[in-house]
Amino acid sequence: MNINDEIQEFLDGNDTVAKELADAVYEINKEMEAGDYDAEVAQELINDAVEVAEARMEAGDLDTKVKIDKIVRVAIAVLSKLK
Amino acid sequence: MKLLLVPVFLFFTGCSILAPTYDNNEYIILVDISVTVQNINSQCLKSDRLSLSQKINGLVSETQRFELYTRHLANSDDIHNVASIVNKDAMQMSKFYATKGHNEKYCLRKTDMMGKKVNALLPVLATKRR
Repeated sequence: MNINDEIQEFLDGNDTVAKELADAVYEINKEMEAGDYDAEVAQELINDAVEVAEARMEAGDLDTKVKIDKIVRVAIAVLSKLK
Repeated sequence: MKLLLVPVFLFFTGCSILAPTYDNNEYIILVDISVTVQNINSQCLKSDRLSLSQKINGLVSETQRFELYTRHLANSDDIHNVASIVNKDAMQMSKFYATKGHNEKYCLRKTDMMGKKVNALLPVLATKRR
C-alpha cells in the first residue's frame, strides 16, 4: 500500500480527528508537490496538524490514539518521500 | 451599628462577585489569543490598511505579550503552554514571511491551525480548572 492509499484509507474513514489530520496531510502534500512550499515548511505545517489532532484527543477523543499514531507515520513518510 | 454593617457587607460581596477569579483571568487570556488568531486569519488577506508583514508582526508581538503575561500567573502551566504554542506558531509565520515572502496558502493554513489548536485546548483547560 503506498502513501496516498494509506492517507485515502483515513480520508474514507469515519473517525473525525484522524480524517481531518489525513485531510490536512493530503492537502499539504499536494501543495508541496505543486511547489508552494519546501519540505521544511511542509514539515512545520504537518507538525501543526498533528498538534491540532493531539489537542483534540486531549479534549476527550482518546479512542483515536492508535489511528493518529499511524497517520503521523504516514505524514513522516510523505515528508521523507519529498526530501 | 448593624445597619452600618449592611452596606459594608454588600460592598465586599459585590467586589467578590465582580472581581474576576483566577480561572477567569486565564480563560480570558486564552479567548483573547483565540480571537487574535481568528482576526488575523479572517483579515489576513482582506484588509488593505495593513500589509501582511505588519499583520504578522502584530500577531507576533501580541502573542509574545500573552506569553510574558501568563508567566506571571501562578499555577498557570497549562495556559503558559498554550501561549507558548501560539507564540511559536507566530514566530514561524514571521520567519517564513521574512525569508520567503507572501504566501497566501501558507498564511491561511498556519493561522487556521493556530486557531484550531487554541479552540481545542480551551475546553480542556476549562475542565481542568473546575
